[in-house]
Amino acid sequence: MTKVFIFSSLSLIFVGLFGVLTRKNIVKILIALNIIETGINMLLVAFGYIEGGITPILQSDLSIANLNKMVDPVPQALVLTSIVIGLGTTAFALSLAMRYKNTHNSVSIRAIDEEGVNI
Amino acid sequence: MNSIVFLVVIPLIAAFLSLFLESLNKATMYIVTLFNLIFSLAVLMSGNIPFNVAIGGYRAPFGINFVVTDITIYFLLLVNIAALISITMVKNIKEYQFYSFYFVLLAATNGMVLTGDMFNFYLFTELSTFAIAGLVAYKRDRLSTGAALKFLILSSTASLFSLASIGLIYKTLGTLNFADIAVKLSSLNQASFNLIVILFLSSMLVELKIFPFNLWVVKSYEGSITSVNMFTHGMLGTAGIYGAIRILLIVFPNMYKTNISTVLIILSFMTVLIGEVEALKEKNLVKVLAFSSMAQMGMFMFGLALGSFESIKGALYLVVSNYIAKMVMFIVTKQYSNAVDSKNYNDMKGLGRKYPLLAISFTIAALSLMGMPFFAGFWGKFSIVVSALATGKLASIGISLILIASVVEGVYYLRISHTFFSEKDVNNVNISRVYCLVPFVLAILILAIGIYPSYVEQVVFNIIDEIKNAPDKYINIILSLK
Repeated sequence: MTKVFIFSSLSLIFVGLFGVLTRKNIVKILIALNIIETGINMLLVAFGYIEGGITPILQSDLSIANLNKMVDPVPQALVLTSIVIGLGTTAFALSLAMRYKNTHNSVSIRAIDEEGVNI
Repeated sequence: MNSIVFLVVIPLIAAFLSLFLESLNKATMYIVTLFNLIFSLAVLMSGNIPFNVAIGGYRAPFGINFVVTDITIYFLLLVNIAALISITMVKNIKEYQFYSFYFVLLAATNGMVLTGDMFNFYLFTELSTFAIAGLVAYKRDRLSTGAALKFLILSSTASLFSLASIGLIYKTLGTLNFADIAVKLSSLNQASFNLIVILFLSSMLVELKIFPFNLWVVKSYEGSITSVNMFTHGMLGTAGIYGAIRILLIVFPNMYKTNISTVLIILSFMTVLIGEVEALKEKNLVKVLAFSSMAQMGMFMFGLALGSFESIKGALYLVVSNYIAKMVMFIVTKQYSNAVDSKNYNDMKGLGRKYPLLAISFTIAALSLMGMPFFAGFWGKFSIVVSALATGKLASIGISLILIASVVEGVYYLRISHTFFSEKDVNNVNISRVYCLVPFVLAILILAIGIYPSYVEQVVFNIIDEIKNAPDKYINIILSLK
């Protein structure tokens, strides 16, 4: 089961990377960025996953007896934080994209413009 | 010393309060920046260094910790001094967004320098890139919006890779603490180590302006106002340099036994080449500075990647010289380009005769960047060249590259200085004499460091000493039971 998670998350990362590198539409680039991010979040969760594991909450004597069956809670905490960061990035980048549309009259990242900038 | 957390918390509170303060924002900005500066000076003077603060009382490998050692405190001071000098350039800004982003940047860069945890470092890096993107977009025109968007996309893609690397570190070593990683790293096999370092470097190189990731620099320097240029250079750049020193030299020192350091050397060559060649043919003064700071970062990376203590010493000197010199140049560029309403240096003829203090400061900074003797930059390039002489074939290419780069820098910087001093009638230009003073004081500082390097030598010696004795001076402080 862990392998399925790792393979699917890696494929998501590469799909997203392909999107970021090849698309020209800014909104599509941002969607691709979110796909990479989902992939990496899944990867982190998969790293902490145990076959047949239980939730890492100490609630009863039964759960204390099964401590070594608990999945690792740290990657889940990391993922929660990185989801919030990703939300912030996307919201901020989308608002910049709206202004980009106003100033460039296009959503292409290669809009011909910006006199004097050759790079 | 739990109060060290205030360095991050108070700017964050101010970032929230700036939504409501309106006209008081500028005063708050000075108060918070001065607080950070005075607080870090007080920590330096207190004599308690080094110490470790476990947040929430969870001891080091299990909880998040802030560490203050010699390296930390010096870089903390550099970041906060840069903040103070940069905000003196802020004029007539009423929008609360600018101040809010500035406070977030201050908190994030202080946090990057203080933290002892990998994931925390990633979060602060991400936060600082947000803030810089927001500040770059402040001008709201075509250029700045495009620059901010491209920087945001580049940096968040790169930092996602570093998040993957953090996941791999946690999977393989079971820890995220810098010191704990450094201890457990020897049990890691070569392939996983290489993968982790390469993935993590991707986000590091964006901030260090190293070749494949540095094309955001020019646009965002050109598209933003001067104070934002100085934030990018002095705060984000310095915090990135701290990250490189801490992570490459103390957490991943095994890197020098692999090919990764060779790759870094080649990347730094490319950076120096591209930076110098592009700066040579550029007429826009701000873009000249952007390309030149890329080239300087390339030389810093070369010194770091050589890995001997002599070359690291040289790299640190380069950091100090570049840090002061670029500040001077940005201030001079702002005053002159405001006066003639153009960023092309050919339009600035004659200004050096009317306002010689600014032009002389620019020339001193330029000579320091070139690495002339009696200026701060000399000691950096000298140490790197001396240590590269003792290393292999690749390093000898680096020597010639650094020497050629010095000549090229001489050509374009002295050409600009000459333009300042050439004759032209400039009567309708007015620059307040007060603004001439800040760059001049900084230029005097460059001369002082060049002639009496013993003060900086002591600081650099302390930093090198911590890198040499990392197990005693960093790792054991964090991991010892308290």
